[in-house]
Amino acid sequence: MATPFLAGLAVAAAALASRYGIQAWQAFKSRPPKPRLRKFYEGGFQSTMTRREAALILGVRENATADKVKEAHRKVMVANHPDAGGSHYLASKINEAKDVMLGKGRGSGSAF
Amino acid sequence: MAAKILANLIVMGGGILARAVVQAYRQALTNASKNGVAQETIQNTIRRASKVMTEQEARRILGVTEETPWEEIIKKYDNLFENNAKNGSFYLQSKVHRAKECLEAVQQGKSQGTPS
Repeated sequence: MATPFLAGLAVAAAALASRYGIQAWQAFKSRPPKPRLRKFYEGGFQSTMTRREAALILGVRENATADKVKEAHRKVMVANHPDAGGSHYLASKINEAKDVMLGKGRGSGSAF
Repeated sequence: MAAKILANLIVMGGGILARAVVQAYRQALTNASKNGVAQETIQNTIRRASKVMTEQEARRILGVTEETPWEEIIKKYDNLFENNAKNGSFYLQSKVHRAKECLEAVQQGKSQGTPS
């Protein structure tokens, strides 16, 4: 006896969901493409480069493989090369970051 | 009888849990010192009062000198910013941006003259 009532409710719910979906899709399509605003990192470089800062400089993960580190180093160095309008300071920072990531740092620099 | 057994189990479990927590903390300290996170934390604590970039470092980042005119500084900044936006990293882009902000503040200070 209650089955037609429940069926009617189900159909109404499905219709409402479809209508909401269509409206959401239209709103999504019509929204303007806003750029993602990321907050820039504060301050300057650290006095002693850590592995985390080295990874940030090269744009890789902290546990990246040596091949990925070398590839990222080449890409970032091309963007900041002194011969192509870059600065020697940034180039030295990028080279230092590569050495830190590949484990060629001078001393372990333990804090404890 | 059952209550006594339950109390014994709780005491043993608590001891094991405490020992595990101590070991985990020690391991975390080892990992922090290995990765440099602890060192960075100490440096950040010291540096938190002075998060602003110095003018000297800003000039070194942009590759300019004291006598470089402002238009050339802007040209250099635009070049570095665009290069790092395309092929560089976001961190270097941030440093270039902060360097320009620092030099901008210095420039405003100079243009307004001595406040004395």
